[in-house]
Order: sequence, then C-alpha cells, then structure tokens
Amino acid sequence: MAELTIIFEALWANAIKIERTIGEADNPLAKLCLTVLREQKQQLERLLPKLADEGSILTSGKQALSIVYHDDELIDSYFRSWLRHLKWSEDPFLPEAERLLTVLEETKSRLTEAASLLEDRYGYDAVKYVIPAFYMPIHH
Amino acid sequence: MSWIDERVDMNVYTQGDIDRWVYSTCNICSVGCGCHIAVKDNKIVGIRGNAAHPINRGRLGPKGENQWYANNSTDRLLTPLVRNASGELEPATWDEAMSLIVRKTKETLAQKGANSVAIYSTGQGHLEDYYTIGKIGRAGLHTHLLDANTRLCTATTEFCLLQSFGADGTPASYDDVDETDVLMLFGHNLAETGTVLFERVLQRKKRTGKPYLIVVDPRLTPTAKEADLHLQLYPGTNVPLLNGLIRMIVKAGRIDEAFIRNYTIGYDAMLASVEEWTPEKSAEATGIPLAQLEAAAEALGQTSRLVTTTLQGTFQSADATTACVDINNLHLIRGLIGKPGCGPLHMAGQPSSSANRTVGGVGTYPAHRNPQNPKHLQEMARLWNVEERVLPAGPEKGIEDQLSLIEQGKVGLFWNIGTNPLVSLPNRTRVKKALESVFVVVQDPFLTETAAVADVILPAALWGEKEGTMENADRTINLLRKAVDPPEGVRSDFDILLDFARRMDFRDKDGRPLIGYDSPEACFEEWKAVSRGRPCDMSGITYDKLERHNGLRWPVTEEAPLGTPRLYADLRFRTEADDAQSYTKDQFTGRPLTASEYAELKPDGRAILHPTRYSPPPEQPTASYPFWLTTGRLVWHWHTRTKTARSPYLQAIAPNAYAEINEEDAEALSLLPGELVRISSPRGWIEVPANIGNAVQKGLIFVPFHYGSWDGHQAANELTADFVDPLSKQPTFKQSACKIEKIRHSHALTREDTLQTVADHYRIRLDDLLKANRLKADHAVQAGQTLEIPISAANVTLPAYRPYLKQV
Ligand code: SF4
Repeated sequence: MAELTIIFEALWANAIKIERTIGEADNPLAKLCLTVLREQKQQLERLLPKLADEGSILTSGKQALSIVYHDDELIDSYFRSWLRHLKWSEDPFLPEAERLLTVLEETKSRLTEAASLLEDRYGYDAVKYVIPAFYMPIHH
Repeated sequence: MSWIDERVDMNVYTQGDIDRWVYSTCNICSVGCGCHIAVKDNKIVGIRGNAAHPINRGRLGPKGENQWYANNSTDRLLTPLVRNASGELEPATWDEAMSLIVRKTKETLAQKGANSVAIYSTGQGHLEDYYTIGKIGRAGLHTHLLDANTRLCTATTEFCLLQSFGADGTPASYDDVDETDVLMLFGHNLAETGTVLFERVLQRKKRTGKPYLIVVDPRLTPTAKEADLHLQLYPGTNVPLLNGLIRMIVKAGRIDEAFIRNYTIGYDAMLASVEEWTPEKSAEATGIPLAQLEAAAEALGQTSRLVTTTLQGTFQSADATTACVDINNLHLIRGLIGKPGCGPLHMAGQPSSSANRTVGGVGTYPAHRNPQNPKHLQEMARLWNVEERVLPAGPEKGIEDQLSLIEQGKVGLFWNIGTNPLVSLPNRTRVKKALESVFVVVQDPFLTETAAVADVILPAALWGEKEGTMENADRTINLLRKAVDPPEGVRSDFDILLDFARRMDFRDKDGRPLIGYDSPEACFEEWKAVSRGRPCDMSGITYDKLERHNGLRWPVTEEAPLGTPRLYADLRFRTEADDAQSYTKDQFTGRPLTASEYAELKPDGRAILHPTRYSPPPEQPTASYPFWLTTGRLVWHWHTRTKTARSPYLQAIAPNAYAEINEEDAEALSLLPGELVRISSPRGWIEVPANIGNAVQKGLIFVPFHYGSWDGHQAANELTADFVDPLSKQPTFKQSACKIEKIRHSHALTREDTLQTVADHYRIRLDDLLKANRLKADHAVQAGQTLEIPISAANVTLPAYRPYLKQV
C-alpha cells in the first residue's frame, strides 16, 4: 500500500500547488475550480490515514476515494474552460495557468496509476462504482 | 381543455385528389401537434392538422405546415458517401460504407478501449432509435460516450428534475397550463418556439382573462409583448431574480409550511442561500425595477395555481440548472405541485428530445435508471440478458467533455446522427478542428455543414418515411405512421442501427443477437418491458392505442390506462435511494454525490430543496468586447435550417441572419438600419445586417443561430463561448461578449463633390449619408474631408407570425 500512499500524497501536494497558484482569482470558472479543488484536498486528507490499513481501503476509504476521482474530472473540465477564458481575455496570468496544466495532467496520470493498482488488488467489480471509467485501464 | 373549437390548418400542393391521409405527428418542435400526411403517387404532397388531437385540435404553426417540402427536395442524399484518398466524398454502396464503419469501430475499440466510440444523436428521431442507440452503446460498445443535441436543448430539464424530484419527467402538463391562474414563461419565447401552444394560451386568456402572464426575458420578444408583466432582466441573472423573489415570498409568509414539513427536505439550507438576495440587491443585479419585482412576488406569492415553464433562455445560461432548481423550490415552498393548474413544466426544444432522455439514448440508463446504482445496472443486465460487469457505470459525458477527450486523442470514432454540430455547437472553429482529428460518420438526409468533416455519410430517411413514436414536452407519447417509402437508396435510422449491430455481431450472454427485434413496433414492445415499474412506465401503451387516443402521457399502466396528466399527485417523489434516477449532484459544483452521501440526506420520497448559490457567466462584456451577445431562434426556422430552408415559403421570409441592436446603441455608433456590420468575439466574427429596434436592451446583441453555411459569414456559433452549466453541461449560448464594427468605404471629398453627388454615386439616400457621418443637412462640404459610406444595406424586417391575433 505504500505505493498508494506515495501517489495520494503527491496528489495532495499538487492540490496545494494549484490552490496557491489560482489563489483568489475571481472568475466564476476559477472559483468553481477552487471550490472543487479544496474539496478534493480535504478528501485526500481523510483518505491518507486510511491507506495505512491496506485491506479495508475500499470500505473505509471508499467515499473519499470516489470523491477525489470525481472532483478530478471536474477540476480538469473547469480548468480547461478557465484557460480558454484567460486566452480570450488576453489575461497576463495565462502563462502561469498554462504551466499548471502539467500539474493537472500529472495528477490525472497518478490517479490512473492508482486505479490500476486498486483494480489489480481488489478486482474490477470492487472498483467499478468507485472509480470513474476514464481512469480505468482501457481493457474495460 | 382550453381549445373551444377545432381549426384544421392544411398545406397541400398537388393536382386532383390525394390518395390517402396518413396518421402522424409534427416533427419540428416539442409541442407535439397531431397531423395527417397527404400522400399521392407514393409521394408526400402536404399536411393537415389532426382535429381530434387534444394538443392542437387541428392547428399547425408555420414550421409544422411547411416541414414536408424537405422530403421532396432534389438535393436529398440518395447513396452513402465515403471520403477517398484524395479527400473527396464519393458514392459508395451501403455494404462498402457499413463495412468501413464496422472496421473502424473494431480498430478503435482494439486500440483505445471501450470509451473511444462516441454516438452523438438527436432530438428529432424516434423513441425506438434512441432505445436502440442506448442498447448498442451500453451493452454492445460499452461506451459512456452517448450524447445528443439534446444537450443543447433539454439536458437542463433532466438535471433539474433529478435534483429536486429524484427522476426525470416534467411534473405539470398542458392541461395544467389550461387551468392555471398564473403562467410564468421563464426564458421561454413560446410565441416563436411553440406557436400552437402559445395560441392555446392566448385563446384562453382572451376568453377568460386567465392566466396572468409573467414573461422573463432579456429581450422584448413576441411572447413578452403579450405579457401582463415582462421582467426584462440583464443577461445571466436568472438566479439573482429567482433568489430575490423566493426571499420576498418567504418574508411575506406566503409559504406552505405543512407542505414543506411533510413533503420536502433541505428548507433551511435553501433559505440561507437566498438570504443575501434582498429586493434591492436583486433589483440591482437584474436591472428590474423594484416595483416590478414586488408585483412579481405578489402574483407568485398569492396565487393558488401556478405553472412555470422554462426553455433555452434558462437552459443555455451559466446558472441554468440552479435557476430551474430555484423554480422547483418556488413551487415546493408554496405547495404548488401535483394538483390541477400547478407545477413546473420544464420544456424541451425538439419534438422527441424527451424520448431520448427517457429511454437512455443519452444521459442515464433506460427508464430513469441510475448509472451509479448497481441494482439498476443489475436490472438492466437481466432485461438485456448481458453480464452486469460489461455495462458501464457512472455519469455520462456531455458533448463538450467529449470534444475535450477528442482533443486529448482518446476518441477514435464519432458517429453523428441527425444533427449538425458544425452549426449548432458553440465555438465552432474548435469543434471543426476536433472533429477533423477523428473518424466521423454523419447520418443525415442532406449534405449538411457537418459533412465537411465526415469520413462516411449515410443517407437517412425523413419524417413520414418511417414508423415510430416520439415523446413531446409534456410526456405525451405520440405515434408517427409511415406514409411513404424512403427514396431508393435511403434507409431509416432504425434500420441503419440494426444493420450495424448485426455486422458488429453484438450478442447477449447466451449467444443470441443483442438486438432481437426487427421493427420499430417490436422494439417498442421490448422497451415497454424495460419501462415497467419505473416512473415512465409505458406498459399500457400499444401503437394502435396511441392512434386511437391521439397520444398518451406516461406513465400508462393497468392502473392508469389512459395515462397521467400530472406527476406527483400523491406527493410521493422518486427520491428513495433505490428508486432515484440519480444520487444528485452538488448544486454548486456539479460533483455527483456518492451513494452514502445521498443516503445521509434521507429524502425517502420527499422532494429536495437545494441551496441556489449564484455563479455568474464566466464571460462578460469588457472594454474590448463591450456588448453582450445572445443567440436564439426565429419563428420561421428550425435549428440549422436543414429542413426549413428547403421550404420555399419559410426561406423566402427569412433568408439571412442579422444582428438585433438596440436603437440607442445604434445611435451611438451612427448605424443605419440594415447596414452590414461586423460582430466579433474572441472566437471569430460574422458580417450581418443590423436590425435596429427595441427588441434587445441596450448593450445586448441578438443573432439567430440558424445560419451556418460555410459560404457566408453568418454563423452565430463562430462567436459563442463554449462554457457549460456545471450540472447539466448545457453550453451557455446566451452569454458571450462581443463588439460591433462598422464596415464602410471611405470617400475623400473633392471640390466638385456635393453631399448629394456622393450619395448618388454610392446609391444611398442623402439622409442616410448624413446620419452615417453625423452631419447636418446644411453641412458645408470641405475638400479633403473624408466621409464614411456604408458598404451595403438590407431589409431585415421580418413579418410577425401571430395568427391568434386574427383568431381571437
Ligand atoms: S407548434 Fe411545434 S409541433 Fe405544433 S405545428 Fe408548430 S412546430 Fe409543429
């Protein structure tokens, strides 16, 4: 389970990085993004201690895990929309925001890696209703 | 019913007697008017309204009356087309085209996995097509990527109903419109989008004085002109208006406390969310005078019968689902639901988009089943005789998310059925670029603008050339009999889908073909079994019964053999965890709640009042783009004009796009009526004539979205931003920023010039030359001075369509 802990700790660090960078941006898309990001961060904080008990993560951590994944889908969507907005409004913040896309992509690939680990260990049926399909290995 | 008489509208063009009239339903808008199709020599030659149909009693609107011309259009596609190595579309046989699609599908699935094939369908097909798409998509392709242009149409209806009542299905019906005392048309330009229903409302109003009509719209539309109270709010402020009204109603004590206590949850959190919206704050945010807000709160707070309808003005806004939930909240706190003359009636745009939602061609699983509830998927697996593990779980992906997945290289095949996304989707430059990167199948009767990105085109049958059913905006299932065979070489959507399933060799878990039916009626019989026991139970329907009774509103069961005029008469909502169609979403962020979060809410059959936090439009006017842009429809055309432009009558009346500009803005820019202007946004630009008047408020530009030909520069969706509502993922067509630029020649005056000679030279009126240059008639000409000459002017005055004024 150490692998999962490493992954989710990295996600938490990414969430902090994004939150700090977006800061107090007042566009509605940025606000939506931040609201979801803060929820994700909070759920990661709930999830991390539970990862110590490997056997029960899909029961004790199921809800937090599911929210973390679903939040990531939303963050990705709102963030990309916000990037388009920054571009169209020629906002000087654009280059910095574009750099954050790499962080988001890293988060996504780590979540995909975690999905794969969880599926390997607990089987597809155990994760089907917890992890959104787009994070699962493609054979499904 | 409100109609006191019948009036059979008819439009037939032939010589001598026709051969037969065939039972059908109008295939244009969601009102669902009954009609008969005139056939002569196996050709459709006209239409007449069905006098016995309760929805229209024989009446038809202009689009309905003229829809049949498209069937006989000489530019129908009569053979599949396949793009060859040099990039040209060339005729192919059905076998070649279908084999290619099957090969590409298999390749894509092998390379990119299940969620790499997208089907993007329509709201203008038949229920049986949608059910088949749902079954093929989920049990055959195992994909999440099932969406439709209903995303631009009724997606918000679905999500607001799921949020508040646990399941889709609009609570009130047209019967309630006939019985209500107050009718609030919220972002709903009924006079232009549902002409027959509007006529029905006005006929009753003229006769009885009821209903008191409140119209909420930033434009002075033909609907708003008939209102008792027009709330002309600023764009993007539906939620500030509704939050303000709810707060006023609560403060005035006009709530039904017993109803709230017994039949709802969430009142305190809802109330807290509107607390900041004082009348003054609401007035300031919306631009509506306080006195009008008070009048609205008085009317809404006093009445014991209220119906509220919504359409694109509400749905295509940044706060779409929250505004619709606000409306549900209003009805719930006043206890105005489930009884005659009461309830929200969230509409649909297209004639069968509701059917697509109901049977699972888009969104959730068939018959209002929750894609996150394992029990519902187990049930579907049993009904379809497949393994539950192959059915994808979780929320669907809307078209804008699908485009993002295409851009990320995750989708390999995009199958477009009966819709024209390169005209209808926002920010179409982006859409075109994305679709150019995947294999695209276009299934359509005509070579639409979307053909530009097609790799294969399949010629599909039109209305009247196939059999099936549709669901309108008030849950009525209507029947359409086949009047004529499709032209040689053309196939129905249903037959194409069945052929695809056969060629893909989709099978159930016992090795039998996944699609076991071979006709629309047999498909409907299977669907009935799937719907049994669910909110949209249609087990009591047969095709013959639909024809005999002129449509039936679901649920139609043994207990309710003639259907159900309104939902929730027993005040039991579909919110039990294992009954609900959704575990709902966070009302602000759109994040789907987990099963346990939902269980903690304990709605248990009670309706849910949600907090309605306001999120303004992401794009608003700026110094560079100082105007609001909003898009919409004209009474004379439907969507991207694939059918209506082929009616000589409709096309002659409204051949071109234009931009409505407020007279004060036009004055400030010294624009002439009909002058060609350039409207641009950060996405692109169009050049259209200016239609100057007071239909739009100051600072707002309206452009109809029907005109998207690649030949002109008139496509409104070159301009629109592709942001979406967080819950329903409906694009926010109603709120982008834009600017207006004049397109003018310049003329340097010489000593010989007079203003009159310059005007004559450019063939414009002297008055116009003066006005365009802000000159007085006695202006002394000075050599070297430069004048601006408008490049062209067009007559943009459209005739009004208001037959009810003659009638009533
Ligand atoms: S109101 Fe709608 S359904 Fe009725 S005739 Fe007109 S377009 Fe057709």
